[in-house]
Formats: sequence, C-alpha cells, structure tokens
Amino acid sequence: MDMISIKVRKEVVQCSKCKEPKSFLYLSDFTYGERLVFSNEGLPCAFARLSDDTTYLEYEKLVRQILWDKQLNISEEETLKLIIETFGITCDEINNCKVDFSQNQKKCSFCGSLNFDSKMIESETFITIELPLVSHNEWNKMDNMRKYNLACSMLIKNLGF
Amino acid sequence: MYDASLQSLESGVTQSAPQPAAELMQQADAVENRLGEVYEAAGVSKPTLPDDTHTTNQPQQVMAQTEKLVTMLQELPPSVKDSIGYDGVFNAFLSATMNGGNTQLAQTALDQARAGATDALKEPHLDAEAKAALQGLLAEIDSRRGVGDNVNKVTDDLNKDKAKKRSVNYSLVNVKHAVGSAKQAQSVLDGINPKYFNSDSRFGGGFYVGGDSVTIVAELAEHGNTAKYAISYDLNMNGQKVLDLTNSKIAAAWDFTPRLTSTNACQDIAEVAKAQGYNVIKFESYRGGGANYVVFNNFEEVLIPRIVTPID
Repeated sequence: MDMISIKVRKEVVQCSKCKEPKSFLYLSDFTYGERLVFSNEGLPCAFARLSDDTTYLEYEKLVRQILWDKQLNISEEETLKLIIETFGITCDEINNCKVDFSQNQKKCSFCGSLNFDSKMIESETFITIELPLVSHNEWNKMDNMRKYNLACSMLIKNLGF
Repeated sequence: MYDASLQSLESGVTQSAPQPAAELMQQADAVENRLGEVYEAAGVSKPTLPDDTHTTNQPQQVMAQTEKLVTMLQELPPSVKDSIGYDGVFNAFLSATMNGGNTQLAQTALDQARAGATDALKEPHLDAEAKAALQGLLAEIDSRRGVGDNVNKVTDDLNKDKAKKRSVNYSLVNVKHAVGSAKQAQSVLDGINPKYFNSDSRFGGGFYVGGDSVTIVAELAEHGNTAKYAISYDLNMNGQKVLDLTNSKIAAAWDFTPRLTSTNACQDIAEVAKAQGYNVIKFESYRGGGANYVVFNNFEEVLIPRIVTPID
C-alpha cells in the first residue's frame, strides 16, 4: 500500500447539537482531480489522484455504457455524481475497510449530528497528514464481464431500484 | 495592441531572463493591474475601442438622454443596486460617454440594466419600495429603447455584430490557475472537466482561479505543492451572473465573513447561489491581496485560455 504525505487546511467548527469542536480537513481549492476519501466516521482514510488514474476513466466509460444499456436517462450532473460516489467498488480495501467516495466528513464524532455552526471557532491552520493512496489491484484482475456486472449492481443499488 | 503587448511581456517571462520567472510574473501582474487601474479610472472598458460607426462625437447627447435613467439607478435601494449589478451598469453608461457618445455601448448599458432589473425582480423577499423602484426603472428603460437612433442611425447587421463582439470585451478579467505538472496543465487545457472537481472545496465543486500568480503559487505552497505552470485566462464576466462576496454589503446579505465563515457554510452559500442562477462566485483570496473566483459552468464561454507560463 503506497502512502502519501499531504498538507491539508484544518478548520475547527462547533457541532450545533452537542457544542463539541470538530476538525474538518480540506485540500487546496485549486486542486484539480484530487480527493480526500472519508470513512463512515467522517475521518480521512485515503487519498485519490483521479486526474492520473486510468481506472477512473475506465469506470466512467463503463458507467455511461450501463446507463445507455439500461436506458437510464439522468442528467450529466447526476451522472458525474453517480460515477464518483460508486467509484469505490474499483478500489482495494484499506485496512479491511471498503473505500467509499460517497462518505463525507460532515458528521460529529461525539453525537453523530450532521449540523455545525457556520463560523469557525479558531483560525484555519495547515497540518500534514499521511494517507494511503487508493489502488485498484483486485479490479484490474477482473474480466470485463465481471466488472460490468459489479458496476451494474452498484448503480442499481445507488439509484434505488 | 494591449493583448499583444501583454502576450509579449508574458512570453518574455517564459523565454528570457536571469531573473526568476516568478519575479517576472509578479512584475507582469503589476503592469497588468496598473493598466487595469488606468482603464478603470478612465471609465473605459479594457480592450474596447471606439467604434466610428457608432460614435456621435457628442457624448453629452447620449448622456442627456440617459440622465434620468442614471439618476434612477443612483437612487435605487442598496440591496437592489447589488442585485442588478449597479457598478457594472453605471460604468457601462460611463463607458458609452467616454467613448465619444458611442450609441451601441449606450444600448448595451440599457440592455444590461434591463437584464439586471428583470433578474432582481425575481428575487424573493423583495419589499414594496424596491419592487416599485425596479418597475419604474424598467419602464424608463423601455421608453429609452433605441436611444441612439435619433443621434446616429445604426441599422447595419454587420456593424451591430461587430459592436456586439467589442462589447463582449467589456468585462474581461485576467486570472490564473496553477498546476503542479505539465500533464495537469495539458489536462486542464484539453478542457475543464467537472468530473475532476472536488465537491469538498470551499464553495463546492468548480474551477478555481486567482487574480494573480503570487496568490496561486502561495495557495499551492501552503498545501506543500509546488506550482510548475500558471495558466492565464481571460475571465469573461459579460452575461454571467456573478456573486461578488468581496462586496461587503453582498457578503453581509449572504452571511459571509471572510476567514470566519466555515467551508461547510460556504458550500451552502454556493448551493443557494447556483439555485438562483449564479455561475461565478468572487471571493477574497486568503493567501494574498487579490480576489479568487470559482466558476461552476459555461467554462468555454467564461474562461478563455491565453498563455501557459512555467514557474521556477
């Protein structure tokens, strides 16, 4: 598992419900094609460099093919959201956990609330964190039919039918 | 001439110099900003030249005909002024006068005022006073349609088209985007693709550009990345709906406080703005003195690539 050291912007805001502080971590606004991946608990667990990731391009084509095959007409914006949110199925597990791009950090670590105050409670700072890079070794071993079926079931689940 | 000089200046940055490129780019920014200030001080849009076919050489005639309208604009309630893009509309009238009474520019100003007022009328929670002011403004604009006709007959479609092309240059702003590799630069130049946007950025997924090289280099450096190339764009604000959060009144109306409002809250602001039809947000740079912009759509129309410059 390759690791990468990245410098992220840290904001601290207060949970609107339990008033406990919560740290949020962000990449630069100017990054293009890079993402932090979060765990179910809202903590960063991986880093993805999509602009250099050929699997991302392959998966995009596959999703568009499936949408065409199934005659599913959704907007371009929804299609892109669907692609990124389900892209985790192509990724190797990290520390026995599935990579899930649909997770975000908007969850209080203390009470689970999704609501936070709108103002920071301290000035933003920069910290360096080390994260595993997403990889696709298992996906790359699959044949095309297996990939198609896996992606198909994921899309159907995600679209809710 | 202006673009050619600027391009030559920036080419010089890439090709010459024992001086570090970053330093030269800083100087280029300074020259460019100074030119912008000069144009702004003169009330003239940057690359727009007077159009002989639309010039009366009697600017007072055009101004006299639009005097009541300009007064009405000045007397609008502040919240409505922001909504209709008052500064842009007022400068458009000024530009028409400064360009020797250019009737086509005056018509552009009228059209801009009409579009702004029409949009502003759609705003929810508009009070009766603001609504009445806007309706009065629209009525006045309609009564002034074809303002230049009795000054100078402009009917030729080709001339109109040429004038329109010139007027498009009204709101060009030079901005830059920095990348860490030639491959990334090529990817961006191949076309800005929303599939590479990060929805967790400050105002959500979009293409972020900065007003000057120093700021964007500093922005990447803060994150431990080295900027290798700066891609310069002309940001064409003409016809775009821009939420200007560097304007303190607008920022207050949107409950935005620079350096204090959390990214979560900024993302919520962006969602509401997009739902209201805004496609560009202008905000204060957190790493330098300039402004940053996030563009959400219409990339080919809004962002015109000009030059790629390596950064040492």
